[in-house]
Amino acid sequence: MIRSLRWRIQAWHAVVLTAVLSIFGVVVYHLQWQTRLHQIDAELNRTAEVLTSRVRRLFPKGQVSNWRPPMELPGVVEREWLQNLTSANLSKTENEPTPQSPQQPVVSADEDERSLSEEFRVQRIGQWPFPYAEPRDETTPFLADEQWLPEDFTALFEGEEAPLHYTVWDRDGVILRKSYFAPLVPFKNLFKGWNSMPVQEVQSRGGLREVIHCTSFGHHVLVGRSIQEDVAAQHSFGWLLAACGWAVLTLGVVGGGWLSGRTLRSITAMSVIAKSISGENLSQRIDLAETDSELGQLALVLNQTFDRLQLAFQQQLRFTADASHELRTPLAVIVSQTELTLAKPRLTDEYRAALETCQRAGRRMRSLIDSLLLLARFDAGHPDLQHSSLDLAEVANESVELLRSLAAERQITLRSVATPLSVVGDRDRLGQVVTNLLANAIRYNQVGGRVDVRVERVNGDAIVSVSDNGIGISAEELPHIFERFYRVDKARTRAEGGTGLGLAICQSVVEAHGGQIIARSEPQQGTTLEVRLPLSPETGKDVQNL
Amino acid sequence: MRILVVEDEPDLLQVVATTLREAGYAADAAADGEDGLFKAKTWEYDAIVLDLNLPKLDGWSVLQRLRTVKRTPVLILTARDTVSDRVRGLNSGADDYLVKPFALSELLARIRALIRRSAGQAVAVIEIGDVCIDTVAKTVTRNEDLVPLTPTEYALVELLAMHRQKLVSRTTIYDHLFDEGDDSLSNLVDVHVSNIRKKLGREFVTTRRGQGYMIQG
Repeated sequence: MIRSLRWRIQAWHAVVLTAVLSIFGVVVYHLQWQTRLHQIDAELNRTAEVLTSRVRRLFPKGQVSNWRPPMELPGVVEREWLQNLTSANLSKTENEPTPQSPQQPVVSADEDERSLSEEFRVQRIGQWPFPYAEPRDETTPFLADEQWLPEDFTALFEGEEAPLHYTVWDRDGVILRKSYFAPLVPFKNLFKGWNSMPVQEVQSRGGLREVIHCTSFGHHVLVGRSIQEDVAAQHSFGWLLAACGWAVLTLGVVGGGWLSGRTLRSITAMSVIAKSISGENLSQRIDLAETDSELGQLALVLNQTFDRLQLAFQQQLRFTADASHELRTPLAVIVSQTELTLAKPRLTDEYRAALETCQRAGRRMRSLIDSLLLLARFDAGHPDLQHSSLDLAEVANESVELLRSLAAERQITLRSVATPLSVVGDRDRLGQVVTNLLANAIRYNQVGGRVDVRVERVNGDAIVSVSDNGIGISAEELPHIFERFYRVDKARTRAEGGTGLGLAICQSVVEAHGGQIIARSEPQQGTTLEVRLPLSPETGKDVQNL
Repeated sequence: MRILVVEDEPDLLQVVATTLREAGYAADAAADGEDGLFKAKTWEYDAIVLDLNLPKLDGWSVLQRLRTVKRTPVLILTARDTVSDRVRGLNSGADDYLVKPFALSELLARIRALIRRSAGQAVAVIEIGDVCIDTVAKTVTRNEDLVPLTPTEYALVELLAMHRQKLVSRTTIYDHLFDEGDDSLSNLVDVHVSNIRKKLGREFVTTRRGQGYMIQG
C-alpha cells in the first residue's frame, strides 16, 4: 500500500516535471530563435537603410519620375537611361580598377545572367507585376561600382564568403544593382503607387534571411544573408537545451524519489508503531519529533487516540478484574462453607448457620449479576425502558417513604420538598435512581445528619436533587464516583457496602432518559447529587412510547 | 500452630477461621488491613492468610510493611487471578498465592507446607526415635501403634518436634498454641506436657525449669 503510494507520487512527479520542462524548453528555444532573427533583421535593416539612402542619391526623384515603364521593347530605354546615369561611374571603374573587383567573375556572371534574362524576358511579357527581376543589360548591374557604397560596406558584399548580399531593382523588376554573389530568386513588387509610404518587408526562404525596403519611388532594396550558420547554432542550442532538460529531469526524479522516500519513511515508522500497539502493549507512542508538520499533527492525533484507547482498555480491564473479584468472593464463601460443613457430621444449628451463609452469598451474587446485566443492556443500547408519563414528585416521595425506616434507624432527618412535575420515563428505573441516591445519602452520613430531597423545575428541566450534610467527597475522588466498582470510602467493609455499581447504574438510567446526573461536594460540608431530566413535551398529557 | 486470617468478607473469614480451628490450629481473625497488620506485628504467627482487597489498607501494603519487621510466612488468598497480580503479590514478599474460590483441603495443605518450610522441615512426617509424627493426618504413632492425643496435645508435640533440639519457651508455646479468644490458664501447659509424657514416655519431653521445654531426639 505504502509502496504503491510512493511509486504513484514518483510517477506523477516525473510526468509533471517532464511536461513543465518540455514547455519551458520549447518556449526558450523559440524565444532564442526570435531574438537571433531579430538581431539579424536589425543588422539587415541597418544595411538596407544605408543602401536605400544611396539608391535615392543615385536615382534622384526627377529622373525616375520622368521615366515610363517600357512595354514593347523592354531594356532599350532603360539601357540608355542607365548609361547616362552611370557613365561617370563606369569610366571611373575602368580607369581605376580596384583589387576588390576582379574582371573575370564579372564576365562569367554576365553570361549567366544574360541566359537567365532570356528566360525571364519571355515570362515577363504581358505580366505586371513581374515574378522575376531581370538585369537591365549585360554589364551595368554587375559593375564593381563600389563607389556607390561606402568604403566599409563594400567588404560586406564581396567574395564567396561575403556575409551579406544585396539586390536593388525598380518597380518594373529591373535589377539596378546587385552584389556579385546575390542569388537570383523571385522578387516581390512592393510598390503601391507614387508617393506612397516606404514599405519594409522581411522574408525567409531556403537558408536565407532577407529584408526588402521599397522607397516611395518604387526602388526595392533587398539585403539578405545566409542563416544556415544561425540555424545550425540554433540546432546545437536546442540539443544543449534538451540535454539540460534531461539532466534536470533526472535530478528531479531522483531527488523526488529521495524526498518521497524520506517523507514516507516517517509514515512507515508510524504505521510500524501503530501496528505494534496491541492489547498487551498499549503504552507505546509515536515519536513526536516534528509536531509542526502535517505528519507530526497526524502522529499527535494518533497518540491521543492511543491514549483514549489505553484508558478505555485499562478501565475495561479493571472492570473485568473488579467484577470477577466481586463474583469470586461470594462463590468462595459458598464453596468453602459447604466443604467445611460436609467435612464431618454437624449439629442442626451448624447446618442452619452454614445454609444461611450460603444464602447470603447467593443473594449477593444475584444482586451483582442483576446489576451487571442491567449495565450491559444499557451499554449495548437496549435499556428496555417502559416509557410513560409520570409525576416525578410522586416517584421521589415513594422512595422517601421506602427509606424512612433506614433513616430513622440511623437517626437521620429525611425531608422532602416536591413540586409535581411531569416527565416521560420508566417509573421503576427512575424510582430506583432516587432510592439509590437516598440510600447512599443515608448510608454515608453521620449519625443525626440530614438528607434533603427536592423536586423542582429549573430552566425548563426537571431537577431531582438529593443533598446531605455528611463528610463529603474530596475533589480528587469526585470525578470517579460514577465509575463501576469505585468506592470512595475504602474503609467501609463489604458487610455494609453495596455492590459498588449503584451510581454507575443511576448514571446509565438517567442518560438513557436523555438527562444527566451531576455530583457536587464540599468536604466536611456535604454532597449534592442532582438529576436533570427533560420535562415531558406536553405537560400533563400522556405520551406513550416516546 | 497459630495462624492469622485477614479477610474483609465476614462469611469467608468465619469459614476459613473455623476450618483452621477444626484442623487443630489456633486462628485469629482480622477484618481489615490495619487490624491485620497490627496483629501480625504484635503476635508470633506461624502463618498468615491475607486477602488483597482490604478496607483501610490493602494487602500489598500490609505485606510490605510487615516484611520490614517480620518474616512470618504469608499466603495470599484473593479473587485476583491475573498473572501480574500473582507476580506483584509474590514480589511484595508473599510465600504462596491461592485464588478464590479454593478448596479448603488445598488451603490447609499449603499452610502446612508453609509452616514446615519456615521451620526448616522438608518432609511431612517427623521421626524422633520410635515416635513418628504425621503432620498431614495429624497423628502420632509409637512403634507403629497409634497414640491417642487431644488436638492441643498434638499441636504441642508438633511445635516441639518442629523445633527439636531447641528450647521452646512457655511464652512461645502460648503464642503458637492458643488464639486470642482462648483464655486457658498458664499451668495448663504443664498439664498437657505431663499428659504427653504419660502417652509417649517420660524422657520424650525434657523440662528446663524456668525456661521451657524441648525434644532432644
